[in-house]
Amino acid sequence: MSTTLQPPVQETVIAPRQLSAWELFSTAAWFGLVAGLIEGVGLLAVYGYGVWNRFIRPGVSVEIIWISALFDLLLFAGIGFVLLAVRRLFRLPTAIVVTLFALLALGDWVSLTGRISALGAVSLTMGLTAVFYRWFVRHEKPALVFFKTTLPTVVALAVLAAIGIQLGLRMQRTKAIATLPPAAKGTPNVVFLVIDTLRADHLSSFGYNRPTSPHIDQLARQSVVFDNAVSPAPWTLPAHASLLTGRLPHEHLAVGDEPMPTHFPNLAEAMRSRGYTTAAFSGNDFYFTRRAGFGRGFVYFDDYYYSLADTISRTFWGRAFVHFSDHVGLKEFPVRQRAEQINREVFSWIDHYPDKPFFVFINFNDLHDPYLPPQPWRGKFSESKEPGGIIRQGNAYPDLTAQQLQSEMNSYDGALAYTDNQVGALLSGLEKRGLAQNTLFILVADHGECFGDHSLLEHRNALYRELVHVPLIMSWPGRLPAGLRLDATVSTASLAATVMELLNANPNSNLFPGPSLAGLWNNAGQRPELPYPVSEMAQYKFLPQSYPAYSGPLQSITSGEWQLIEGSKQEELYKWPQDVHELNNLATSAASQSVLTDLAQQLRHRTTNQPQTSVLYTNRVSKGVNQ
Amino acid sequence: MMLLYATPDQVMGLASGLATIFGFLLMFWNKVVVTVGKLFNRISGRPDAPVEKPADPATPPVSK
Repeated sequence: MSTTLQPPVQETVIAPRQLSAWELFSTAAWFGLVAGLIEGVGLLAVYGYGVWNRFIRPGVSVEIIWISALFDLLLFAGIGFVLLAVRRLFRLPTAIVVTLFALLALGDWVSLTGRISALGAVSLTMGLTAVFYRWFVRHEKPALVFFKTTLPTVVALAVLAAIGIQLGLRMQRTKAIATLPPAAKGTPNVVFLVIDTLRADHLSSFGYNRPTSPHIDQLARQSVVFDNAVSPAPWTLPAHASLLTGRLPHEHLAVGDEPMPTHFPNLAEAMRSRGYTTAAFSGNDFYFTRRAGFGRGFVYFDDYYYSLADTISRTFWGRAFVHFSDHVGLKEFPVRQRAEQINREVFSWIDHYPDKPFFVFINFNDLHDPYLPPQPWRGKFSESKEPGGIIRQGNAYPDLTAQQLQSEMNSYDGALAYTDNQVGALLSGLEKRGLAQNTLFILVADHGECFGDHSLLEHRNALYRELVHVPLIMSWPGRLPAGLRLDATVSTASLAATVMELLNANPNSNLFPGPSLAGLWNNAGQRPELPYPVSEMAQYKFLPQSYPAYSGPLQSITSGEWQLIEGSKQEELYKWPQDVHELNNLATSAASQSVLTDLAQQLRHRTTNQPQTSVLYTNRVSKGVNQ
Repeated sequence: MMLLYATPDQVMGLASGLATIFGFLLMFWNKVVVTVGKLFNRISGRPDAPVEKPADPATPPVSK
């Protein structure tokens, strides 16, 4: 048996030399493009299509492939510049420079799924880099030749990916528009505007003592206003799912941070099949996105890449910076897509297809925490120029003084005033184009917000009235009554069916369970009996233990006089018209027992008469989908 | 290692641990191999291989 002795140190065999500036940049470009292309494909698989990842944040779409390649190209080239400067001070052997690029590429690929811990990712990256280094010092010359000769191919691949993807998307859209069924002349347009996180009682037209909403108030005077609209859920994902499918959360199952199951038809699909150009514009790039399951039926969906900062934040290194941005004093990075920008995008879309009726579904998200509207709106209701900004994701549920809480509310109201201004801009844009008369305009909120009510902050935590009571305003000049205020308690899940009835869709199509709300003004003197609105939310563990949803799922039913909330710990019954802030729980009051029993029965009937979906819902919650 | 990425969330802690160990092994595999060999030799009673006593650096490596 023979024993082989290894050379003591291979690195000393090759005399260290430095790359020329051109070699350094071409090597940086090679690694940047290769790292970015593979990263882009990986990000698309994991965060676009959910491979090895069931969560919906952060989402990406196919453009990420060339965006990652371009970003990494610029990043690696920038590092090349730095290395060039460093080389003036220190000698940098070729192997060190190339290994540094390899380290960045390998770190990127190893970590992009986010599935292994930081320590595991760092260790694995360092290990693979060490292997690369040992390989490279033995094969420096052929490796450099390889990088040099294959660089044109890599560049061509990246350019082709960019052109191919953008052209493909454009062709897809053009084809979708071209294949729309013909719509009758004069078919009305539909604008469905959701103001994220707007609690009804902060609108002037709903009794608030601050002039937060002059434009919405003006709209309300010309519209049908529902004073007691109730959202089926206290947070964005299930509430939007209900708006579009007409189903309750226990049916559509968009109850956690996973994409909405796609088994129910949605309003966008119904509108598209009627010849509408359908487009969605989202200010909430967390939950109202294609990745969340809302892409179906929309020819165009504006959710990602709305700004340079947002585009960068969706790449691997950009995401790393987002985690770090908090520490460098950036309160919000990237800054969310503002209503002003959304309006520009909406009109750009509308103007692009002037001959077709449109259905645009818009989410304005400027009211969501952190409450940081642009100036001068942020300071509009405050003596301080920069109120708010304490409550925000990552710093949730802080202990606030009364003064701080007021400051948050001042900023929220400023954000509402800003949003109201943009609602005015949206309406005047329609007016200016001569579209207002033939447009059904719906303004609604997905859920409310807590400012210390019931000792809670934010939303997605309970089903109290401040969380589920939302504004609902419907306008269609000449077709809907103007200035009609309805006190009936209605669910916003009925909107899909209402839109279809107003557009004279086949009432027997049964796409959306409804019932339509149109009967409230169509049948003079004979108001239909509407089922009491039901609201639901699954258990959510990312909360303080004292918050109701921490302990288990919640369900609620709201009649014209009462709201019953059932949770795993207790039942709560409030006579909300008298007890507006729901402070007096009457669930144990002897006088309220018959009401409680009746409402509880109705709630059971509404939420368990569909055993299949109910079982699914229960299983999902018990498996900790939301944890 | 790629297979570990595809494992359910519940075993990602184990996958992370394995990734850490695997990374360290890749970083120091030559040293690890020598150490393990040395340990094996000690246990089995065989003398350590000459590789453990490097010759004069100027002496070219030879194969026996």
